[in-house]
Amino acid sequence: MASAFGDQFLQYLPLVLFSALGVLQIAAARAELRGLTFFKKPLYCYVFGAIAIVGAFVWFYATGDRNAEPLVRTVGEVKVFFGETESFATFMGGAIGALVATLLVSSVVNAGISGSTDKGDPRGLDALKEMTFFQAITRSLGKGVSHFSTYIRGRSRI
Amino acid sequence: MGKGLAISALISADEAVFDWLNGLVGKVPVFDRFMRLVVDDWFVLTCLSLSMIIIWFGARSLSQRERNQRAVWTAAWGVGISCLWFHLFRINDIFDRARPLQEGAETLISYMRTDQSFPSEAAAVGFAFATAIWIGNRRAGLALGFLAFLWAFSRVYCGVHYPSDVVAGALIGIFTSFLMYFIWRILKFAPNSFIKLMQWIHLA
Repeated sequence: MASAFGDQFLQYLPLVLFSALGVLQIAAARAELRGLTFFKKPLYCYVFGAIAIVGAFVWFYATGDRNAEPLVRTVGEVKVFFGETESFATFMGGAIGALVATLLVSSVVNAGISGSTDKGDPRGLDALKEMTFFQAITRSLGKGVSHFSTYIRGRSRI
Repeated sequence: MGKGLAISALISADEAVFDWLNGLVGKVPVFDRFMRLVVDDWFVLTCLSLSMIIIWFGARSLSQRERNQRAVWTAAWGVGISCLWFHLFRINDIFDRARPLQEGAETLISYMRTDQSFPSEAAAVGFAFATAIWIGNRRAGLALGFLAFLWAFSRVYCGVHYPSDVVAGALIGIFTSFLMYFIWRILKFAPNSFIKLMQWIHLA
């Protein structure tokens, strides 16, 4: 029973991981977040995204009857199906995994982006229009340390 | 007496609509296969969940992005609370209604569920997603509403629920999302703090 649960987890996780990767590329291309995309041209991101999403779903449905009765296990006196708590946890794990993978790969692939701040001090996702996630985080941390140092110097003069 | 007759009439009408829809199974095999895809516990739910990612990250303007992100926050709460109605407060157990096949329905083209039929949790979850997103983004909300409708329809077509089950479930989901929207409008600090934190790490 335990291994069968593990099988369902191992089949749902790749579906979420790869389809979320595809969705993130489509979203990044649409919002012009150059620091998050894997490709320079938005069209390639859309194509990659579509292939990842469709491919993940086709693989998922080709590798099992998804209309079969879900596995049941008993926790105390309560019957628990794989499809609620477990699928939610698996989805969150897959989505976070896809986000981390996107941030890592895009930061490496786009390391050469200028990261210029001609348009002022972009906050949040807007920073990723001009720089990678790692560049944005490094800049934010640097500013945080600088503000903290200024604050400490100010306090020490009092 | 009058009330009892009215309820009986409603139940009869409900069963008549179900028999008509479920009786269409087998007439167009391609449509049956499509419905079998939609009715399962994975396809629509995964699509709805993935759409939260594109709605969160994919807006072009800052103002639309903030509205989208608040809508995703509301959707997460709306879906969560909708599930709580069924799993914590067990509203299914209040109405003792067996699934259609357990009552001799025509055809079931999905696996047999053994819990109570009324109301439908799938419809509640689907419409909770759609309503919360519609509040912040009309077009995306309509698209998700169509998905939620398709999922609810497939539950009746495939013999999993009666029509009134999915209507009641949809109303629960819509009500819950509106409730969450108004609660978070009053308690603005919670979604604001969360979005500010995400902005600080450049994920919002």
